[in-house]
Amino acid sequence: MPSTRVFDALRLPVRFEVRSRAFGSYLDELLGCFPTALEAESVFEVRPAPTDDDRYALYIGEELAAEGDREVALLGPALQALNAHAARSWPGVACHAGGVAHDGNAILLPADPESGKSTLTAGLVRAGLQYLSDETVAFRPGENMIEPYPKPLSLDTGSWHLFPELEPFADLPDDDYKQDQWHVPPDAIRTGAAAGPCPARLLVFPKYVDGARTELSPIGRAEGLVELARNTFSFNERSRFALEELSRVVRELDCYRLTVGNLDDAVARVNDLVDALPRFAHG
Amino acid sequence: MADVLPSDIVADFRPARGGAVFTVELDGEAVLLDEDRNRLHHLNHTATLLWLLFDGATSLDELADELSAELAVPKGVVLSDALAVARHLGEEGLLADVESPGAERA
Repeated sequence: MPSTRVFDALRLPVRFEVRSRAFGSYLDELLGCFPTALEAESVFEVRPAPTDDDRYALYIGEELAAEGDREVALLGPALQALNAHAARSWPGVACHAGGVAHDGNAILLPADPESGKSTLTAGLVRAGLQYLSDETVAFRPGENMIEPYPKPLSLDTGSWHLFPELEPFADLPDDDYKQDQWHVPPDAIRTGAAAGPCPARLLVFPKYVDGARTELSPIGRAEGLVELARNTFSFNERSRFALEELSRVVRELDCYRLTVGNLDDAVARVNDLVDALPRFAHG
Repeated sequence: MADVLPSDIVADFRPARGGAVFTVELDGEAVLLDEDRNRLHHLNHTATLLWLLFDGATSLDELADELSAELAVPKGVVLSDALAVARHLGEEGLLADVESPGAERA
């Protein structure tokens, strides 16, 4: 059975086992920015569905996670399951956030789903910033250091017109892989776009509002901490630990809210913040 | 002794921080984690100052005396703020020995 390489997703070694070489090769391409690992702890397997040989099922270990009419239709569920498992396995605090970096300084973009976080992240990477993630920002325990999670960026239909050059073209039998969402490896935006681990310096909460004027507003660190906690995976399961970890990081950050009405304006605002970082914060 | 209702908090009440409440302070503002209810609360500077003084031994009237002298603000103003903060935090279930029917446990 074709298998992807074993890759390290937030220190969780994973491989996919699939039916077709073409799908396996495509997954390797999408996940190419993750570091290689030696031996998989988790195996995500695509195989015939238990009740219908003409359908396919995604298994994570022995647990059935999703079903679909075609193998490639399980691409989205497989990537979502990977995100969930990686965040759950991470020993430190992980937040639902985009992340970019410049000169070794991370800018975090926590946001609710559908707030335009991935679109803004893609725009910033296209503009020259390095890519940490568009989904999960993971803090190493006990330190202000972001562990990269360079998953393929997930662009919804509403933002495709902003990035026509990023439409995926894969050697697959049908277009299921890009019907609802484009999965874009960071290297497709710019070769070498994936960032290494780096400390957080800015916390920006983006929210897309159709027709609004793009505006950046500073907020206090306490407010920033509450918002970041709201966007933390599994916060309630170990709330005190998470709050202590997050507060240690937020103490060092400048915090803002960003209303996004226009992508280019939002990218410019964030770049202005990056340019204003004190020189001692660089590298 | 039965718990008091937030609306019954008066000047001689000695507020105490709830035992299941964890406090983080950033730039003079507090973030409170109510571990019983898994809720977060953000306090402004004034509420933070008062919260940190709610030791269960000092009445609101005594706190108002101290802060009025320290901040050079009329005692009546300080006491009014202290009562409002104590009642609000009581409603949110953050004070010991205060009944908070509106704040459900997680």
